[in-house]
Amino acid sequence: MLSIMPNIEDKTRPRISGLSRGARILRGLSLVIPATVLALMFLTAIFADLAWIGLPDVGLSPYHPNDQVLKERRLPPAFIEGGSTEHLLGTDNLGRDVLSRVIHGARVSLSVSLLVIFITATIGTILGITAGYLGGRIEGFIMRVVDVALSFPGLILALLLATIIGPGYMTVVIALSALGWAGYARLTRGESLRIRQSDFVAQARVNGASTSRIMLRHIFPNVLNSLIVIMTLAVGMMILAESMLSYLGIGISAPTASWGSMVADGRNDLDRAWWISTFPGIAIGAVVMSGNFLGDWIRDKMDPRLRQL
Amino acid sequence: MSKILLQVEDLCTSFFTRAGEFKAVDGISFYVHEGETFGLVGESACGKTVTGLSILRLLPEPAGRIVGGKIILDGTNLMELSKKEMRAYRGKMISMILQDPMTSLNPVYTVGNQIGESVRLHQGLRDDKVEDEVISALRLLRIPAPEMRIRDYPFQMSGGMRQRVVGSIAMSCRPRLLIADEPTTALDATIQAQYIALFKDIQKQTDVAIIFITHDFGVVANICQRVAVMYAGKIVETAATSTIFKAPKHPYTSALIHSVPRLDRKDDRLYSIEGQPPSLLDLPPGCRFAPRCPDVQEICHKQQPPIVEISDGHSVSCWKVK
Amino acid sequence: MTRFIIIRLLQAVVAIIGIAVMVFFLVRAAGDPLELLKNPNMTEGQYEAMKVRLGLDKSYGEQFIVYMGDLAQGDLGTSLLKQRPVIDMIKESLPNTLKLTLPAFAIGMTLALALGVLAATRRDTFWDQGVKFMAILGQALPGFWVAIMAVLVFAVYWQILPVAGMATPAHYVLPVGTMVFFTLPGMMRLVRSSMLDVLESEYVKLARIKGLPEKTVIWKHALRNALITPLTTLGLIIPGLVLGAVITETIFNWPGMGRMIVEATFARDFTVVQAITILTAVMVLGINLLVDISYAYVDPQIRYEKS
Repeated sequence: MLSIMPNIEDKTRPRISGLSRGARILRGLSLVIPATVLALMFLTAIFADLAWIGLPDVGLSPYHPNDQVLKERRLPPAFIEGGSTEHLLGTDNLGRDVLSRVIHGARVSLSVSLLVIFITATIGTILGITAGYLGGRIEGFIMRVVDVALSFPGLILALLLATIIGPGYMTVVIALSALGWAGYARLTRGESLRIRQSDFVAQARVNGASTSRIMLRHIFPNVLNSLIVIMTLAVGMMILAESMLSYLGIGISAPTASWGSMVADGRNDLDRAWWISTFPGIAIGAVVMSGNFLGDWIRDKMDPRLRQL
Repeated sequence: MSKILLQVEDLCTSFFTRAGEFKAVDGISFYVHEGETFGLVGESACGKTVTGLSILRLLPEPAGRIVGGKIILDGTNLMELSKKEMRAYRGKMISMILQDPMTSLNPVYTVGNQIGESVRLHQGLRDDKVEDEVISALRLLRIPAPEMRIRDYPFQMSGGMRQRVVGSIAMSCRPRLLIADEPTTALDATIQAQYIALFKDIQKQTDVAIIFITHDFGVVANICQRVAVMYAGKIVETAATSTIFKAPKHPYTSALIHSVPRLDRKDDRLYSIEGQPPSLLDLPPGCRFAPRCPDVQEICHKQQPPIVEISDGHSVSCWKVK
Repeated sequence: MTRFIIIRLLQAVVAIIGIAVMVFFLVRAAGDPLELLKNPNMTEGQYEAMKVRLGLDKSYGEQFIVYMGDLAQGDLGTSLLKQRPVIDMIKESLPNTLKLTLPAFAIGMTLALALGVLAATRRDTFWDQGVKFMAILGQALPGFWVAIMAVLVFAVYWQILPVAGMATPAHYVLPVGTMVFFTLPGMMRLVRSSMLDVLESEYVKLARIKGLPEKTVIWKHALRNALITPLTTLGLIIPGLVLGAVITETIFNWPGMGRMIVEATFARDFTVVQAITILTAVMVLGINLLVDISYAYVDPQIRYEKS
């Protein structure tokens, strides 16, 4: 009944006596920094080299990521003793430039996560809207499968797939897609259930619109907001998942640089060359955290109801 | 006239948020006699509930805070009690009934457990005695077959029954003061009338004083001996119920009374007040009702009207009354 | 209640059969498993003998019947690589995995509850910010990398903790710590947000009006309601636990099921991978069933509706 000011009862209830100047600046930074990190990642992924327009030697990456210089193995990064500005982040156990590999690793992470998000969102939305709008047995069946898919460990499935078809880019994409659709299905089904009740859907039905038309023209546009929020939040999760599969060796195969496999490469050199594992891990953490921050921000702007997710 | 039980003096309660300080209650004073029903009337968001929560010192922390005034219950200033001492007053001396019976009972505990908890805490009884007390509390609110009901969960009861259980919890330790925050608003009209009749009866039996918070003058006429009208954090008029119905002095009071639907006046359209209450963040310098007042004068926009006692127990804060 | 459990149990059995069928066809759809095992040095006779021994000379229909029959009897097949019954291998490695998973789960849950409640009850204070920060960090950093960094700091740099082996309690610190990292942040966030919801409810307000001490308000009235949401999603932390076990066992060379499945994957020992997949499915469905039952225990409304 404290309707006296709705925002006090609201979950976004502000802190005591407002934000100080410092806190406001911090709040601003928590949007600017993640956005910058993600933008940088996009740019490095695209401009790591320009091989895709026929200029393999031009690009942001100082060296070719797979160039091995065996006498320059395990060179430390520039900022510690023995390092040189030739290799800012040092070299790995095969004498490859760590910075160049981190830059190229952005490609794998980004392309896998975008591809998987596209596939899972499409499948999940179709199934979710179908379940939510049609209801009945179809819904019951789809939602049971969703329950199992949500609690089935994707890693086991990925290992099974790797056993059958071998490690590789497509193995990762299929493994992550095979279960990833379930989250989208659950969300869109819930939204469709709600929208199904609304007057404009009843009106469309009265006017004789077909089921598929109602789903496409009336339900889908109304789940889009939530969908975008979940898709943004998924970027970080997918990058994390891809790096883990690559770390285990069932993802992108050598010598292609990916952040997860780089961490694995440095595992046996921890006592002599800590930088090989450390820098790709920092890259993953920074990008994932930025993705999560930005996702939270978009959610708060577009659809605060999804705060629980 | 019986003794004064509760005396509220110049109570100020604010909420501090990012947007600034909301003066939810801004210097109100009133008193309640022992065994009396005192109505606190106003539109939603006028500060009624905040007043109730302030008396219990249970504002949503850390945003809400009492910034000034005294709350004297039976000679003790509640503002000066420690947190622990205050806790001993809650449930035992002062109790409160919340508006929505559907959400104010804990869904995972039985009714008996929730009433017994108060009894055990404040009366220090052994378990076998607790059940007797619980049953007698349920009986006080005329809940049928209380022996059976104590093992029920809230979701097994209707809204009206749940509100009686909330009443049982409030009355289980026979408090001196009961704050009832719109206890009938969420109920059906017939159940509403029953509930109010029940309260009159309980009051006769226990001599509890009640602060009845409502927006409905119809309910006020039914149960309250005296009434205070609140608008935007201030009390604009206080009087005996009969006086206020006969001769309301503040334009806001008259408007509220006129907005009660009446069966005896056929042709009258339902009266409603134009405009919105002012934002509590940005209050006008003069009378807070001025922007909506039909009898507004120049001075109303400039200066706040003083509270004037025009007859015994009838005070008004309006420039029209001098 | 019994009826409810029986129905869910039947559903679970159907789901397990479904998964077993899917695995069977998935493995065969991807190609002849014999191709994986064919050794260029093998003679034709050896090849045929292997085919017969593994039962792969029969038609798919017959293979399927044998496979389902074996499964029904709890026979998970023979490891192609080690020539041992998979069930024996699991019997050896499962206890090791449990020695890691159970303490990690218990520690993770206790910490999640304690920290989640701490953060929610001291909202917007230093404690709350600290918990939120830990959760954000925990959900963004890759677990395998954190484990490797922990090895770098504690084992390589300070040399205070061992990395491999399971002889002393000290050997458990890094692996269990890594496992906790996989489940704690998500659970902590969930407890916090669900506790915040409940703390703003009317019944918590009423508990305070009764004059109950804050301790009782939080641990009796609020927590039990706040647990309902995290409990319903308990099934969702299984992927985190499995992930944690696989990664942790690989990094710390822990002889459990996680390491076993990774090794089997790279040896393309599909009987082992297939067996663990089916076992995982059984576990997932079993835990979901337990969650449903305990959910009914916490929330009386469910208990009554389902009885």
